[in-house]
Amino acid sequence: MSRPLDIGINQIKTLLMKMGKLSIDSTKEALEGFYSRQDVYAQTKMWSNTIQILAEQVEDRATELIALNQPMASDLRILKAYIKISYDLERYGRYAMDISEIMHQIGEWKEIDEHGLKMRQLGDTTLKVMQLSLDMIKNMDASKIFEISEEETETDDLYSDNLKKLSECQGDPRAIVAYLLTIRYLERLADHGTYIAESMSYAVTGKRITIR
Amino acid sequence: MAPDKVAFKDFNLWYGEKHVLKNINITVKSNIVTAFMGPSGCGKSSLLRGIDRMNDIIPTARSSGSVYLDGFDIYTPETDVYELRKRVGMVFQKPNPFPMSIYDNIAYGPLLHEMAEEEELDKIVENSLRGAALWNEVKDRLDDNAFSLSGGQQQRLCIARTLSISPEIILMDEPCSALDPIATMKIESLMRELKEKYTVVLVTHNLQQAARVSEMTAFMYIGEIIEFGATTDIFENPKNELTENYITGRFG
Repeated sequence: MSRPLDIGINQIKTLLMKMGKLSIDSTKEALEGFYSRQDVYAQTKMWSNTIQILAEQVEDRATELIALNQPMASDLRILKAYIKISYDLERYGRYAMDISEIMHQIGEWKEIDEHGLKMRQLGDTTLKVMQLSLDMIKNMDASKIFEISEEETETDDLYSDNLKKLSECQGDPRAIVAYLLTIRYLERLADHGTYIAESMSYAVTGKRITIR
Repeated sequence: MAPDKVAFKDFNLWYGEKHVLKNINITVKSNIVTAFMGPSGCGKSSLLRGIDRMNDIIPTARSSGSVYLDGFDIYTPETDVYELRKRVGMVFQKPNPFPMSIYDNIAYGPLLHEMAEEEELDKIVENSLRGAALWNEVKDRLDDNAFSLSGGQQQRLCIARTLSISPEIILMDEPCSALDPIATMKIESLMRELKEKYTVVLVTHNLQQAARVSEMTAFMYIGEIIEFGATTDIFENPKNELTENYITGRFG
């Protein structure tokens, strides 16, 4: 039997998937911009704003559903999770924008010796965490939390590695700043992936697992 | 945690051939509100009436197992059911005041049970009406007929009538289903006050009401307790799939 509440919950899920797709696109765009030293700020900013508007829609729709239907048990847990996740996805969009904003603000930097730096590896792993978190929203598959946890630990290690290398790096200070901020934003992006995983896991199973 | 006030032990109930309560093992703690919920016909009202032995008045009813009140089995042949029902008050779905004055409605019980002298009655009536949060509304019209009160007031009058004989437990069987939202809200806040002094057991179809007023909730289905636990757990994180399906409106 289909309930009115199911329709609303599915609508919110669709909004979240839309936000998720935009945030992945935006992060890819920002990283390409970073690797190739191109200013893509206008594009990522636009996407981030769109994501923010969608987040507001999620919040309004979820609040309305709660007020009108007084959901309980798994319904209540999923709506709670959706509200929290809309914020995480908003952060996805914002950090992608932040990455591309660096060059926009400080200008193009001179190439530095990337030897020993693992920028692309960190970028790829972060994108993987993000994609896994979106899969989790889509498929309601609580078991994915452990895979996300592993990948996120990998981003933490890569962050620490890169940080150490950068601290020993010689070259254009603007480049150092840009690399430093970018690895920081990537690490934060992956963190929000774990928050999404935790929210979805609780919504689906009712058990709280903390992986941060 | 508060002590056990009522304990069902392997309790079974039949109406004729119909097995309406199956192996009930559940305890009701004192000074909290315990809610029984479940779809129509699941046995929640029968369970409630197991506490004051109101099922006895149904000719075909028979039971097995025990129900303990403060540790004493109330289903032994020696149990004085009238004494029992003095300790266990009951409020029904539809307000059912007696066709007499507001005052007499309250005074009736204490007089019947010879619990009070005439001169103490005024005090009992006032205290009972205060306890049911009705005193201020009726203190100047105690001689009016009880039917002149609104539905919500009548229900609180019935609660006051229950309080007049100083029970230990108050059973409420769908006490708000015939009331408007404002009257319902008043009864609900009254329940929160009543549990300070009494043990309250509530049967309700209204899930939100159970969630709002009770500390413990039992979910029943076809005569069995499916899940019993802290109300917050039952409503946010039920362990049993049947409970989940019921409270999310997938059946029932």
